[in-house]
Amino acid sequence: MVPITEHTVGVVIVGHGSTASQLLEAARGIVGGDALDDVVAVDAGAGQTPELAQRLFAEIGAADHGAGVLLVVDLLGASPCSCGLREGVGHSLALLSGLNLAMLLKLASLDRASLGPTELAAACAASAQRSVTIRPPEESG
Amino acid sequence: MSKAQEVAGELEIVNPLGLHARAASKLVSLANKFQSDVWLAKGETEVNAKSMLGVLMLACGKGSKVRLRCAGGDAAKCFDALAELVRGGFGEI
Repeated sequence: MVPITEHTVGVVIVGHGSTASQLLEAARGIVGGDALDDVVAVDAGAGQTPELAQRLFAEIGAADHGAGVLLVVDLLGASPCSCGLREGVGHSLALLSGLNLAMLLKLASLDRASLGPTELAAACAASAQRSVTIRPPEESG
Repeated sequence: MSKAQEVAGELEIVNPLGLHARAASKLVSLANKFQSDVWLAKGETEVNAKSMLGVLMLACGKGSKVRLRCAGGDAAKCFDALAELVRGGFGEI
């Protein structure tokens, strides 16, 4: 496991249903190694509950080693997002929405001890945005 | 520090699944162990081979011909290591 220091930005992923844990598992399966070992996935299930709030409060707190937290959510403004933001008050927390596999693969390649939460979010967002493409039928064959 | 150099060559993707996510991850991880800049091209599209997403976007199936280009002080070692990985089918054959 990558050593965690007070300079390491912690990462908490939260999404509807079981998207957070499933995507994290998929990313770990692709990249191998230990880069995502300390990343935490919180499955929000169907929506906001007191249990979800408690879990996010605890996980965000545990993920903040002193360098802040990157909170990755699937849908901006939805319950998992708003609940995470609310429970993350008091931590230096950057929000990254639009959870997808590309951003998690990018995250695995970044040094979370030398970049801050916002820089990490920006790098992941750039990869995620590039991963969304459209090819018309005539170019997809 | 050795002199900067560039080494390039064409390679064929030989593993049945092509340059899929896990294979791309192996390639990118290995490329990042070297100081050299590394590019991979298919047709007219050239991408940074140290970027997982870039490599995946080439969408290389089995039989695809790609051009690997390494530039930097350790370009020769870098090229050899990556070429071996590609020619060996990413350990999948």
